[in-house]
Amino acid sequence: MRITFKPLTPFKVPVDLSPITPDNLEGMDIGEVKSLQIWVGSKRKRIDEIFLVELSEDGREEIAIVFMGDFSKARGIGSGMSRGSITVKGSGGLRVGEYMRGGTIVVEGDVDHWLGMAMHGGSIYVKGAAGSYVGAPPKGSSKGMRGGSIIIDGDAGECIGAYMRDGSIEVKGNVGLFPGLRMLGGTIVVYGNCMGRAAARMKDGRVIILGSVGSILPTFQIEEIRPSVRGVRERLEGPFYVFQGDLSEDGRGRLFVSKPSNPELAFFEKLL
Amino acid sequence: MKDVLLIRNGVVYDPMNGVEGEVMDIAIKDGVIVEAIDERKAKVIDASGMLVMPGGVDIHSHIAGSKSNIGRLLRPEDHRRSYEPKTALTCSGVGHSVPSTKTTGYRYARMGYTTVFEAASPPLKQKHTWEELNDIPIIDKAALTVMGNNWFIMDFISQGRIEDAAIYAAWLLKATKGYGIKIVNPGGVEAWGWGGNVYDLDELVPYFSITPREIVEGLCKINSMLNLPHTIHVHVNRLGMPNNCWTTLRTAHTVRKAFGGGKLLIHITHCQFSGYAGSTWTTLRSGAEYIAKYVNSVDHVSLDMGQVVFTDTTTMTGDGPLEFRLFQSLAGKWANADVEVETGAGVVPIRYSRRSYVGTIQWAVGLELALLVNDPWKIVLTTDHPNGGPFTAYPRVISWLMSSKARSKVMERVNRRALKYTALPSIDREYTFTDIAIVTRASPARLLGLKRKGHLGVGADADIAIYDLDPRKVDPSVDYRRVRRALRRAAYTIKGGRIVIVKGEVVEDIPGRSIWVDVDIPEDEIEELLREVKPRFEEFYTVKLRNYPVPEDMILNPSPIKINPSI
Amino acid sequence: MIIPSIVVEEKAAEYTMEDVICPFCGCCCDDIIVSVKDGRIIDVKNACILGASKFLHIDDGRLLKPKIGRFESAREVSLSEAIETVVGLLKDSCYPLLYGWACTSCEAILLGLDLAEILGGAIDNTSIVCHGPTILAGQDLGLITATLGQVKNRADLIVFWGCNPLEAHPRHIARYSVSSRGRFISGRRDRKVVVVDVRRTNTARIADLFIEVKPGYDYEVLSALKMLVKDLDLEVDEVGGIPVSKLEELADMMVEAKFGALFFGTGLTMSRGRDKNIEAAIELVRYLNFKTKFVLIPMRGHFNVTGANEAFTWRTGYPVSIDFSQGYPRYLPGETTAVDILRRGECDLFFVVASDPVSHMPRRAVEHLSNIPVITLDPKLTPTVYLSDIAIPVAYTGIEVDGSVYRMDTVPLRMRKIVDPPPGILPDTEILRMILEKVRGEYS
Repeated sequence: MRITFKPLTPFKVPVDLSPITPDNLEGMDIGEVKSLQIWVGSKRKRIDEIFLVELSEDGREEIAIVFMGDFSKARGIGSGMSRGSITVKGSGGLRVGEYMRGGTIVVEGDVDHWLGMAMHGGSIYVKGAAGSYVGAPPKGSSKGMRGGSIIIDGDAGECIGAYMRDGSIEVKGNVGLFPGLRMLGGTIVVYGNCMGRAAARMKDGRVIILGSVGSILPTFQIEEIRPSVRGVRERLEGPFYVFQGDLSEDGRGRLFVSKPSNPELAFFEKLL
Repeated sequence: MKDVLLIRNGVVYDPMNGVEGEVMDIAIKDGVIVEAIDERKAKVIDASGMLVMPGGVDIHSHIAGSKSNIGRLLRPEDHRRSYEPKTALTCSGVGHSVPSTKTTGYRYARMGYTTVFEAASPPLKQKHTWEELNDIPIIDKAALTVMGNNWFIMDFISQGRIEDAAIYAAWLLKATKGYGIKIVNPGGVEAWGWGGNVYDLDELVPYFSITPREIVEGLCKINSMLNLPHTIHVHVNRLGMPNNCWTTLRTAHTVRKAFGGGKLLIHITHCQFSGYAGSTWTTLRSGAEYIAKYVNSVDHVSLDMGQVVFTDTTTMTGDGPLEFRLFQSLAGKWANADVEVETGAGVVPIRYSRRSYVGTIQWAVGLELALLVNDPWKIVLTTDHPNGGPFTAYPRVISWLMSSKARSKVMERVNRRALKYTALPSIDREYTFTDIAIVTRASPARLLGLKRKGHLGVGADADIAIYDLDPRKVDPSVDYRRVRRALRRAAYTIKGGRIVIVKGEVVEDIPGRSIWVDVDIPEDEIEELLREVKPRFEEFYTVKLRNYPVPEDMILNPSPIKINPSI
Repeated sequence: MIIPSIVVEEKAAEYTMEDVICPFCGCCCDDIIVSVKDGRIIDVKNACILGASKFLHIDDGRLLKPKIGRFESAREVSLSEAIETVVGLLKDSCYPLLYGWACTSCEAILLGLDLAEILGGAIDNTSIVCHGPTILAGQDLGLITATLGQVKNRADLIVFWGCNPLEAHPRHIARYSVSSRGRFISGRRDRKVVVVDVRRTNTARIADLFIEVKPGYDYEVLSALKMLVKDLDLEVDEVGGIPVSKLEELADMMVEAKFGALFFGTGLTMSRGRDKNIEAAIELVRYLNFKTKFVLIPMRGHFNVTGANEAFTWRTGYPVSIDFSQGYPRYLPGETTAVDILRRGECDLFFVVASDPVSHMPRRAVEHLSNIPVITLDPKLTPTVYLSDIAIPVAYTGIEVDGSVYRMDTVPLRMRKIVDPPPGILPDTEILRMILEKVRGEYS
């Protein structure tokens, strides 16, 4: 079953879409869906006051939700979902896929900050760019992403995978500072460049940078050079400098940095 | 019409006036309990089959001020798990272990508590304490002013100038609108100003010619000289360390040796945290039996429990070095905030776990103290909120005191090896409703010297809690869950004669009163002392003397108690 | 009178007030002497040039009457018309953003929080463009700090990192840090002073050791120092343009100090890394506490931005960026922060008190202000006032009205009224109360 939500007018204020998940919509008829109430700014509005809602049968039992339009002012699309799918044909807004446990989210546009916040499982695919704190726990908590996979075709911001415990994040574009900040486990792969300070204060886990890494923190030490490294699903061809750290936190994590993309790191070889 | 109230047919527990489960009426007029009223004019609450007690009195709770706010800042994740939306009558708020100001007041009132004492306020920052207390609705409040590491107090005492020390202390209470003398790790927090600590009552405080023993005895003497309504309120040295029960006993005993028995001299606060035997953490034992034996044999000590609850909570105390030690073992968040010339503060989140050996000992010690001390008038129920657990856990603690079965249920799931080193499994005693009324109302009110709180006699403030629980029909030993439920949400809470809570919901949001002690010392004596002190004051402090006191117009609903000293 | 009354009751034509608290920077110096004649401040003693200029120029460039209309279309209106218009706009808003709150009292800030809650809007303060990063780091790790008197009495090592007190907090040097005297320290010669900055600032001239760090590399340098303090080896020879030997010298100074104090400013909070820079500083100070006594203290800019953080926190649990739209305080940086809300064009009204965001916020954030009503309460004619649809003049806190404020080290102080505001100008607390009363009436 497929349910499509199209905004009647462009959003002017924040819209909280966290109640619109396959889990919550299960067993509802179209009338019940339309009468659900959500927060629009400080007001409560019925779904049908804001959206044109259409239901279509696609022969499948699981619920596929489609958001059509510009949702850059939305919050919490896919919040806590455990099954089914959500597709956003446009931008997705903040906290897309927060606390997700299963199912699939696809965003065709960009997303803002906190994509996959404290994710447990499931998969998220963003075709555009993402903001900062991908997969990170909400501010003040140290319980990061512990499962699931996030793939971003565009660029991402700072602190992606902060406090990560397990799961995987792949960014095809570039990322900002501090990917893998305070990481405890899991895998982060950046196909593009990193602005710097990769894997800062990591205790365990793997950060793989295929582009330029910016610079290596003084709290990491070179361990070896490897010809290739296991990515998320495939082997990634190097060679890679392998750094161990973050030593200031007694960390045993690994930072893999592409040798061809980082010629200025050649001096580390004499420390081997 | 609103100001005349009749609570009819309640099952009343008013131990201070010898009422133990009597069915009787309580008449209220103009915020005060009166002999009788014109029933035709009164609003009547039918309390048939309901438990009626004076409003709860919390003698020690960290609810307001600099370190409470540091605690709130430190715990956004704790706020997310517990919040209260705005209603037509109430403001919104957050917080499981460190609630925001409005939420604090509503939650206390909801439980039937009507008077709460902020446990420790540094004088230099007491304006902050009062700004927050002003923002806490409904309950009456006061703040204990910390003095046990104060440079001027320590200097005067070590110079043998006890009278001047007393005048200074009296001025401090006036200037800070404090209620009493709080002592936190005497000498130790001053040592923490250099990163150190003290470990013995007779250890010299670095750079000061004084020992913790002398600080405690000095302030105890000052307390008597000033005729303060409460005794010195002491967080002893070596808190939170193995084998510290001996420090607790030596501290309690030193004032008796100095000043004799026969009257209350010292209140040992959150005694659980100072009740350990066994020389290391792995060989930790309960020291509660030793403390209880002593307290049973003397008449000069009172204590509050500091009960631990198995939950995620936040430790916060003026004992800076203690919090650093906690940080060293827990390796999580740690905030520290020294206060020049006076004291310190530290905040560290903690989780007390049933499976933990140490956690189980801690849990047992608090209960043992309350169950092994024979006279409930010497005990007050607290969790040292939020150190042992949030104050919202009080109904749970009450159920543990009243039901051996409730305790057994918990003991089935705790660390069994640890239980062997406590006396708790062999204790059958169960608190009665009268006992509970004592340790949550009458005893703290009496220990604090609050003449119009903690009882329901004529003249008392009309602060009353009514619970949907018939003590004649419910056996708390068996039906402890029912007791817990009823005590969590009062059927009615009355504050100053106004009905503020009905069925656990706020129906009226009124400001409470702010209580402090105004020691009547001739102004010229104070001025003479301050004239002498001013140059050193302004050399040590970074504020001018004139900008130090809390201006009275800052306090909401001031309700000072005038005291005549003996000097 | 030693036991003081804070409010001066009787004002003669000429009088002098002592122990006045300066309402300029986070130092909140409280030894200012202000002389008044015929209702005007004529002389200020003890204040630095920044503070003195505030006292002596309160009449300059002032907004004197409420106005409605942007830029040239502004027309003077009565206070009641301004308030009615404001209330009308607030009532119609769905997601208003209330911003500022640094240069006013905690009493006003609490009223602002009341207003934001009742409107279901968002509220934020200026720390987001200044020491917000310090606060963010404090939430994840916890600040290891002390009041300034600890430094005055005990500190034998002072490190200024990414701040320039000689120019931004002039009297900090003599009152609280470098040459202050206390019980255990008799002055400058009992101390070592280190300045770490990207260039040799004026403050560096009075230091015993100046360390020049490559711009944007403070995080690396702090990380390296953490390694050294933990007795771990560094593989490299230089970090952030600084030879490791120099870092070892600094690490030794820190560990050997009896009491070290690290003061830091926007050089750390607003450079590459921001709140992580402060996290790195906190981590360093934590490990220093295993070996000696060390604290860090942020050099807060405005005289009550600390108070804004304190008041926000005790009322809502969070120090900045609160969203009340769902009926209770919610907080998430990047989502509820004022700059982000403006950047996404999400608020439908902007209400500014005691701040000038048009001058301080990123351009993209300010662009949205062309689309929504903007209301400002301010004593002065600022760019924000010019842009506002409605601006109401208010009195200067700490000069024309009493108020509660918090110094950079969270010490609370009470500012006193010295002179009357110009006729017809009320304190912002009064204006906020009037607005609240009317808004409450609309909502009930």
